[in-house]
Amino acid sequence: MSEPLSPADPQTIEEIPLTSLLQRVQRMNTEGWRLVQASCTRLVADQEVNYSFDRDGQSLEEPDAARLHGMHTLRVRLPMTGAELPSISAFYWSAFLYENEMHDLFGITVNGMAIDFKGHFYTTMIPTPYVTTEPDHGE
Amino acid sequence: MSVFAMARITLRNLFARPATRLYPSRIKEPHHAAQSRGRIEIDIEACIFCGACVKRCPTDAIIVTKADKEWNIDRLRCCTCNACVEVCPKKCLSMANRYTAPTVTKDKDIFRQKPRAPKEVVS
Amino acid sequence: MANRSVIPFGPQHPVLPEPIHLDLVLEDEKVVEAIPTIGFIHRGFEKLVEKMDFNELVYVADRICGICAFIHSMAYCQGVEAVMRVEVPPRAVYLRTIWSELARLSSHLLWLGLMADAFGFESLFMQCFRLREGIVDMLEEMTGGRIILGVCRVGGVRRDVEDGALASIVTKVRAMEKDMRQVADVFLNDDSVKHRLVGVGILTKAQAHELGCVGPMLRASGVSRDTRTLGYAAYGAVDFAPVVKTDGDSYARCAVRIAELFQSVDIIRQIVGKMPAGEVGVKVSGYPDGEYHSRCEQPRGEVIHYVKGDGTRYLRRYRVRTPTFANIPALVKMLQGCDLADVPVLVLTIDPCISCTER
Repeated sequence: MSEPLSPADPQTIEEIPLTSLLQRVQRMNTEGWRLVQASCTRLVADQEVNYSFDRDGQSLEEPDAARLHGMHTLRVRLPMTGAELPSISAFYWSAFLYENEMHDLFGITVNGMAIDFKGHFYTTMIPTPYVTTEPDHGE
Repeated sequence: MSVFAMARITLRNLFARPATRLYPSRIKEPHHAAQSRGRIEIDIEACIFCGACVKRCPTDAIIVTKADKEWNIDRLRCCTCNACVEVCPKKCLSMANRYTAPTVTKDKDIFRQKPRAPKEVVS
Repeated sequence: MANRSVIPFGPQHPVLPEPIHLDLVLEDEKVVEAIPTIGFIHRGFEKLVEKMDFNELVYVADRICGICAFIHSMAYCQGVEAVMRVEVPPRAVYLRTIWSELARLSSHLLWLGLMADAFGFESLFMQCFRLREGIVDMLEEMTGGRIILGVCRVGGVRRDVEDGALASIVTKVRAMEKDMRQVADVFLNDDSVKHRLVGVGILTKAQAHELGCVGPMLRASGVSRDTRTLGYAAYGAVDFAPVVKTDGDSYARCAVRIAELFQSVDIIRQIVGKMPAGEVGVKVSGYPDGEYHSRCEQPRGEVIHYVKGDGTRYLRRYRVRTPTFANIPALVKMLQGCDLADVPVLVLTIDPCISCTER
């Protein structure tokens, strides 16, 4: 778990194995967390996918102003090529946007998306433009 | 039952001056605020061609050739971020508050320093 | 068996402020299903981390969007400052908050104008934009730019504003309140406007939460969630409560945004009253090493700028998750079962900023 860097918005990151992803996401859903974002980062030797969740301090039934609880991110590591992920759209329908974006930009295969654009979500001139063998640091 | 809620505003507009201006025949004066970011100007005689503005420019709009004593800027690439003005050691760059006039070609604006008379050699 | 036809809506359409394409499957005049397609202005901003160092990325962040520009650069700077543990001077923090609220006023007035245009009320559209000119002129006097302010940098802000100028800003904004109330009166009370907005695109509280909505979309369905309550920037020193309505239809969303206009005026007045003195920026040395999700409340909802540095000049990853990205699933759900004539109203009601969504 990383140390929070900002007192106003404490955040935690937890790395989990790929096999327990669906189980953890299902638990987050039943506990009332909302999916905030899902993104992918290519590192030097592998890539990591972050799923960020957030929960209100109070339960959903109370309409009073609630302080946001604090973001918790689940992190999954994937190999650089041939990466495959199960879709979390069974629990969070809105995840289809993030998963299509990961497929189109990073080349990750996501199985079972709610709406599958089959690679035409972002039609770029170069397919999977964020996949480069080494970062090109300009000048 | 409120059917004519907009009526008061409409009547007021009917008898007032237009809110828009016939640009370009009438330009707002003073033209923009004093701090508006319009275009980059240079006092070429003070420039030492150090190239600090070239390094700082995020869009690579400025090109400096020290040998020819030339400073040129691609007006269409410049995004008026003011970084070059802030970093110039001789303070010869400034931000004018008038926009670049529209053009039909992608020319650069070239500024060349006048050749200086050679210093007299004291024998 | 009714006739089914597929109508393409967008990306070029008179009521659309930004290019989004919807394939509307129609049965007579009712929309059965809507399939969105985006990607017309994907510019690949996030890949620019490979070419521009972490200081220059502020210029990129400023230019992601043409309406919500300032808050993007502020969220980015906050992210890098959290990673590098930079203490921003209080005056800079307060100035950033003032500009954020002015940007919120300008964005909501623009949205009100576009909403009026979506249901055909052109003169109201012009009135809203005329009001917005006052705000944008104020921003130009303070910062030099009307929309793309270019004042944020890592470590503070690049320009200072004198206290006298700030006091006159408060006076001008409060003088605009009277005109804003007249325009708000037309939106909220005029019968012809209410016919187009009330009961259109209802989203229940549970649906809004499940679909992951953010911003006024969520608050109009009864969920009290506003990222400003986190207390980032100077919001911890300000007394305000999120504006919440419970009906969940387009009228409620309009009412939430109008109420936020007046809330912003009040916040600006409070902030200027508490303005600290001091410098407006610190020098930043070193390179970012670490990661952080920086969250801010844009006019459209919660925006997240994720920055990850690895100790070099260039960031490893820069990821922006904009509020419209989170609201698009709600749009798809709301369009199922609506009338064809309501489609522009519903698309506008999520306050689409597709250039943010696609970066």
